[in-house]
Amino acid sequence: MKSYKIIFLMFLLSFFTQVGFNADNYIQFIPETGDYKISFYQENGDLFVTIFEPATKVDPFVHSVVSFNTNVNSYVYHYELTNSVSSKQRLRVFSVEHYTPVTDIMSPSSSWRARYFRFAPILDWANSRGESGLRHPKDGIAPDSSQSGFGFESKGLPTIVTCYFRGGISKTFTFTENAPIEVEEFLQTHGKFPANTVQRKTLGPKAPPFPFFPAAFLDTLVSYTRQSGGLGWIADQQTSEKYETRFHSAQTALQEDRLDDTRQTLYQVLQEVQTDSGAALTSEAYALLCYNTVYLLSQLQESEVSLDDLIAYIRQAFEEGKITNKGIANSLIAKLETAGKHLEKGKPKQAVNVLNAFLNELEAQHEKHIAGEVYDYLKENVTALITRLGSPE
Amino acid sequence: MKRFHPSPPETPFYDSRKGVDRSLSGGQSPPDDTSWGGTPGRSKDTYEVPGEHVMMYIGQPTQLYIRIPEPKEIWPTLRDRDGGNPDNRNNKESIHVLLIEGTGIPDHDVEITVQMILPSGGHDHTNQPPTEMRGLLTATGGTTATGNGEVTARTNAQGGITVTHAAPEFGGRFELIARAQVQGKILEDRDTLTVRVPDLVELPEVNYYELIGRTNDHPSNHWATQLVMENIQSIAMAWFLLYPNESPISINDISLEYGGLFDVTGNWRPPHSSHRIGTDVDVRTALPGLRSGIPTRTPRDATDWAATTWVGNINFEDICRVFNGEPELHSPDSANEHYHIDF
Repeated sequence: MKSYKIIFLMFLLSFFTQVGFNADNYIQFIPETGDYKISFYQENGDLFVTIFEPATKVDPFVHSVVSFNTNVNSYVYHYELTNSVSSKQRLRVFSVEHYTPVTDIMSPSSSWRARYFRFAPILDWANSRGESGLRHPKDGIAPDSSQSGFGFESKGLPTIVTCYFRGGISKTFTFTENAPIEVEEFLQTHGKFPANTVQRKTLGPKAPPFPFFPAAFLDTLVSYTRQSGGLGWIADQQTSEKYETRFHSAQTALQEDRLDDTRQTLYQVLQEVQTDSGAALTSEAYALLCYNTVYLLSQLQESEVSLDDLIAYIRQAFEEGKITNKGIANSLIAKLETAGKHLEKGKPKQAVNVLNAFLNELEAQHEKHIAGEVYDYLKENVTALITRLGSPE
Repeated sequence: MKRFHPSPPETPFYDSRKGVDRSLSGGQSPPDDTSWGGTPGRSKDTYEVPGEHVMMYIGQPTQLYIRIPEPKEIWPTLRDRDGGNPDNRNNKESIHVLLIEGTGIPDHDVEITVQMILPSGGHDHTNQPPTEMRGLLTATGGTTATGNGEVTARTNAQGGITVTHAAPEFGGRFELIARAQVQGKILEDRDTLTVRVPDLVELPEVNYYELIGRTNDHPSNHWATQLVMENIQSIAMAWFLLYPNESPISINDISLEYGGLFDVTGNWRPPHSSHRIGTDVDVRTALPGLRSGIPTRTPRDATDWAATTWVGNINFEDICRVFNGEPELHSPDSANEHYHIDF
């Protein structure tokens, strides 16, 4: 009779340890600490218990300032981090997305080491004060403290990017190999990057679009204005709407070929961001609106693309497979060279005739051998060139 | 005096390569491509192999065949936590068995067994894995039967049996053996199946990390996916360059050559539970007074590691993270204490 009881108890133990549990049974949130207690029976029957301490018990704030280094034509990105008083961990790791290469990385001190993520365009600073990297209780930024001195240079324009923060955990997560799948899934979703981080928005570098369409870039500026309002980087709705109106106005003028009006409106934006900076615009909104507007203006002035630029563009497009027939590429280049010779001889009317022939060929080969983006770019710039040269009589 | 042996019975078959009828002496099997690739349209003495639209020509002697379709390679059966076996990780093979004597012999018992070829797949054990761990066989012929590592089923009206073999958890090369007894004579045929996680690459020996943990049972234990190999090499190089005064990292078990269950103790059972698909890497930590490795315990200069405390090395943990690895502490407070990096 006794053996029956033992067998029954073993059955119950086996049932509850193997089939009757779900993730809630294995993982228990501890509200007092914000940690998770993970416990399960291993295959050898031993109870395994461990504490998973998320690195997300921080409430960080990042303040970014962008300046322009005229010596090397680069933007300089500066970051100041604040660990709020409500944080339960020291702020130990700061990572920021960058969509163009960065150089001249700055760190507050030698205990902050910067590294690139291999699997994502992310630059990462981590703090360690202990000897040879041994975990130290004073690693990172204490709650209710700030640290400046993070930064880098980049050719990329300011855009809105995600940055990531990790708090300092008190001990390496201790685990074992044969955990129930529910626990493995929990760790996959809670323990890995980026889940095990606190995320905020800040500024990071991004290459301007290529080919560059000014009208589309004005839509980007409108989007930056709206996002800045949502992020609290623009103080009030009225200011936000003012900039949106300016960009829409510039876009209308551009579409109506009133290039001077477009430029004038954008210069007005530049004057206003100087005035609003600090009071109505944070440094983030200022950098977004100012530097991207300056870039747009530079492109509007440089939209007078030369014939040599267009020839180089066609050669590149052929190499990249965006023009699929070498004969067509050569024919287009020959027409541009002919137009150039006419211009050298002071014969703009003949040049315009050749450029119109260029446009006819472009139209005929569009969707056959010429990619849409190449067609758009060549058509826009050759048409602009014809406009500048004046229509033939 | 010259001795003459009686000639064994001959097996005629159609040689598709040469396009002629040939014969083999008794006991020999026709070459693979001819035995399953005879001329379509031959109405006499031809059989369609279940599941394959090919024909074969068979002579009168009783013959037993077992054939695994190309490429004769499948994945090991994986745990759900390793991603399981979706369509692109096929772990099942349909194997064809045929018992014939001029025509198929129906309703006859054929035994199909699985045997591991040793050494293979990174296992250099002296003993076979237990029968129940060699994969589930499901045989369908005149009867249907299932069994782990071995099964007996009856042939159908055409003398055929189709066997589905769900791969074992181990990687390696396996022989599928068919046996039948006909008129007091035992017939046998074999074919070979490879079970492996494809595309694993072996971590090379270099001077900025050390490879450790080889054993007699598992002489090659550093097989990883290409991406994980690059990441662990990057981690090792970063550690080597950033902390030149520390020992280069010592890399222990990753996966075996063909992947699958890595029975670290050589008994065909876990542990390891993971280390199956080339994405788990063990790295040795230092135990003061006992061995070098990543420094993780304080005081570092202790002579008895049991008197030290684990604090972890956040420099190493941070390097792992920037190369997409999550470091965990495994086997804490023991001589097997190590970092386990989950990529």
